[in-house]
Amino acid sequence: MEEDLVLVHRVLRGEQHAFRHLVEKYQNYVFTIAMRVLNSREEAEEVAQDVFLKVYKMLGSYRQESKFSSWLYAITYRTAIDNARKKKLPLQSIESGSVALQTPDLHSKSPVELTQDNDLRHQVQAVIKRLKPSDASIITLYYLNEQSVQEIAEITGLSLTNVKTKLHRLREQLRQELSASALDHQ
Amino acid sequence: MEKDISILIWKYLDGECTPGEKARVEQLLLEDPSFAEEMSLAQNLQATLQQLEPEEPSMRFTARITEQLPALYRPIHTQAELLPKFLVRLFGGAVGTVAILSLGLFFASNQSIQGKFNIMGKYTLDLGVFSNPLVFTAFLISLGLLSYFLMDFTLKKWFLKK
Repeated sequence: MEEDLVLVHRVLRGEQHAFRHLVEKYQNYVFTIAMRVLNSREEAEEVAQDVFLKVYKMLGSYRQESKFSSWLYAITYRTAIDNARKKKLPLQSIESGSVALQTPDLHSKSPVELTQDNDLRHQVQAVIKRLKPSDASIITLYYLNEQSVQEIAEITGLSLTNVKTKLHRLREQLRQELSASALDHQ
Repeated sequence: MEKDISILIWKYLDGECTPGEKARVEQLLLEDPSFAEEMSLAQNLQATLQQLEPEEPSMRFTARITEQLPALYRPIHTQAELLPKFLVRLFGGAVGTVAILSLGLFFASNQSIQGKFNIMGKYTLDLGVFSNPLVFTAFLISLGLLSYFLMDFTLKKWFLKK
């Protein structure tokens, strides 16, 4: 966090190359959040690029009340959601349809063994991609970007209770989907 | 699985259980095989979620952003304003007024010959009220400050015009 602030101050002093370090550090996370919302590499890359340029222009207004990463993710989340709305992209939800998990070579595996399989990672990613953008973002922010529930509430504009409830419901859904999928193949 | 049990499992995995809840989980793990299996599945899911890697944008992503930065660059005004703008203007106006008044008094003066100087026998410079040291000092200070303001204004225009 301290390192981010040093970089921010250097950019504010006119050192453009310091901004490159910030881009390199956060580009994957910003891109992943955009991907979770937009479900398209091209759209996500365009949005991620817009986010960094917006951040560069707005850096003077960053008040350091929150972590730089939280500020950056909040801008990313809002930009991606706005973009999805403008382009009327389909906002799928795990609840709105069945999530067909691809589970190869699972016939002889129990649910516990299944979770130990490397394929599980791909399956989890597949399920996350089918989540509603706001839900997928919550899971991504919590696990990938290691944001606290409080920070996720600030980023998404949801209440603390709402984030906690959603997080629990989403993880439970994931667990049940994976468990059911494994049992189907037994 | 009951809702409160699933809440308990995730609280346990997030390390948010109270000592009482933790003891209950440990007891259930020993006594209830189905709970132990659910816990194991949740633990593995938790571990998988924690191991997920972020997606990567294209190779040229950083370059495309940094290429656009020079066009966006504008000096960010980070130096704090020492005085409010209206005070600076008020002060400048007062200095200008004093300078103009001093000059006016200088030309309108009909004082004694004591303040008059002949320049090359042709021109007469009437110091008039300037023979008063206070007026003369005020004039010099005003002139100095006006020069400072003009210089500051001109330099800012030259160097900060981009």
